Amino acid sequence: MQELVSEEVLSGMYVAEKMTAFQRGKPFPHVVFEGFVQKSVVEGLLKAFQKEPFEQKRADLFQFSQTFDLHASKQKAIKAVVKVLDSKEFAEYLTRVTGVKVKAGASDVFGSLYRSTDYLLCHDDQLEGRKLAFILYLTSLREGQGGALALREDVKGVPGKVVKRIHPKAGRLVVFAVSRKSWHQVEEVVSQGNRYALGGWLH
Amino acid sequence: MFSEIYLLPDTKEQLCLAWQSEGYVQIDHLLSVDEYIRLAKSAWGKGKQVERADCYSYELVTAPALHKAFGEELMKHWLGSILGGKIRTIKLSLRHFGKGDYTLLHDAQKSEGVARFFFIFSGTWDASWGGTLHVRREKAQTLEVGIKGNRFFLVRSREEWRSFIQYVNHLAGKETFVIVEGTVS
Repeated sequence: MQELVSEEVLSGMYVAEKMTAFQRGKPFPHVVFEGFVQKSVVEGLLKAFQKEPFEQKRADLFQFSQTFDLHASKQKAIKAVVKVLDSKEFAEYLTRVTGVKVKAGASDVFGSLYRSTDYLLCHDDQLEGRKLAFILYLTSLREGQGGALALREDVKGVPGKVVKRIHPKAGRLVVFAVSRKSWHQVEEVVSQGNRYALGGWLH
Repeated sequence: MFSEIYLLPDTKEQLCLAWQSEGYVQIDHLLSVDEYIRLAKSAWGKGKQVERADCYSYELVTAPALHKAFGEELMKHWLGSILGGKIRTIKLSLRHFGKGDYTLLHDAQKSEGVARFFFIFSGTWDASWGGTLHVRREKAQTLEVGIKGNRFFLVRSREEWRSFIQYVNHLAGKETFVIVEGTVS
């Protein structure tokens, strides 16, 4: 894990700060790690993504492009990151930060690409076994360019208004607890910038 | 009210046959030009934006002229000639869609009546802006109905044939459309 993540994220003080942030996360428990992985890792992943096949996905809920599960990728840069995501060390790290017990080697990992007009409408991510959802951004989009992760409050079991927006920023990692209340969406990309991210779920 | 061609016995017979074999019928220019223009003036009337983010976002329109036109005896009689039976009621909903609006497939969607129809009021609309009406059918290709003014789409009402309006993206700008949906019993 040390070879990929930024040095400071492993410090005790940093972890303690993120534990508090996760618990206090509104509208549901979540935490944002700035520069979680080293810059070279982001660059390597982005380069590898250009060679990875992306499939256009379209349904009532979404329109974006996605890779197959990255466990099957043969690219060095992707394999190295997937290995860390599946490691005991990473599972223990996230369990410590979030208080949600996740298993090592039990992850779904995909690459996603949102281009202009792509979106993912409001849903809660709930599917059997999913405990934590994560998104590692590989590119940045400014406010006004779209592509933000919008978190909605829960009002008696249905999604209410958006109370927080997290904009894509290269190297930023977002982790949230999957529950019946984890209403979220990816807002439409309204610019020509591409929103590349690596994301998935830990079980 | 209707374009003359759709009142001709031969045309109605063809529509009836298409309905029986396919379970849906799409018609362009259903209304006469004058009638379409008259009703379109009411279509973009007063409305109220409603949203339940995991199901829908649109504006509910109140337009008595549209309720009258699409719920009147003439419409019931014409629909009856295609569906091959007496139409008792038409339950109407008028929805206005613009940038950021959509409907999603939902387990709670119920099928009522024998058929549903959709009538569209719209200016020039580009398919790349979204808004397309999708009707999912079991064991058959999804039907896609593009947004076009004076377009009418009639489809069998079945539990498995669920529909949604694709998200309208930012390219639509200020353009909008109105869909009159009728549940026919």
